[in-house]
Amino acid sequence: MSAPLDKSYVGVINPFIRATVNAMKTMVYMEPRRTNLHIKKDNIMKGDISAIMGLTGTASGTAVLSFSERLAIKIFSNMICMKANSEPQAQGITLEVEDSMREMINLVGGGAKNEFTNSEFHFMVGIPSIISGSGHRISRDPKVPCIACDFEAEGEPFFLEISLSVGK
Amino acid sequence: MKVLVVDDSSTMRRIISNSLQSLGVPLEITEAEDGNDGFTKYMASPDFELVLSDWNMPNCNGLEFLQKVVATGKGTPVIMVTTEAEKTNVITAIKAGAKNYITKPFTPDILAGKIKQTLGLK
Repeated sequence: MSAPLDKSYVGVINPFIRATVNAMKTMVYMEPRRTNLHIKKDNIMKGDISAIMGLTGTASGTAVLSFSERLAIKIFSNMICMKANSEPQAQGITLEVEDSMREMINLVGGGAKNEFTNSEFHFMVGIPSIISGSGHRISRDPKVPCIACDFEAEGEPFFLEISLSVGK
Repeated sequence: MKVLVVDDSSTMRRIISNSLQSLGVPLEITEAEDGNDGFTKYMASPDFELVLSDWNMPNCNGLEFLQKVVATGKGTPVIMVTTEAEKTNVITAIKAGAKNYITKPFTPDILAGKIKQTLGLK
């Protein structure tokens, strides 16, 4: 379930969107396309695997990237240039695939953090966690809006969700 | 060339190791998963010619690791490879003795270029 996005939230999610696109282009060699921007009302993840990063500081909250299993495997393969090295593709969500998802949220959280320097949304990034399984849920502070951006890359959807507030 | 790669992400260690291949020199790469592991491996081998280290790692972070390596007085060049792009962090690392600083995300060309610059390779 989603509602139209208020313009006041754009400034919060835009640095994360830019960092996501930059990470996908630079280290995954994929061109992601934005498909939707909205406030998410439920806590059910659409992806099969989600990387979650806690954000703490002047602003606090969470950043989440959620991918389909197929896209997560492709991302891992591309990141380590598996094709060029003639290595066999990962079978399912392995520990290595999970690690690459952690690195993706690191790149996104770190990239956004740098843009928020000297702003009220300044934060420190935490060590990421992984949750996987179809229809898994991520619980957040219900008082803080979850700003969501849906993407598509190589025909597969993936999802960025930011829940960030100042002075909590 | 003997290189120590310190990063808590196995994916990032493989990306860095793959990027190093483009330098076109014989390589012996040792990987470590945090600053403590990195320093143990650094001290166990007397002849590392280059160290590449992440910043945000559990147990012993990259800055603490850098400070320990510099304190040995061996003079091995250390390059920080990190998402920490804030100017104050770059200055902190350089003041602590880092020879170069690469922000993630990076392309293999950028990484190879910074390594060549650091080591004076052509």
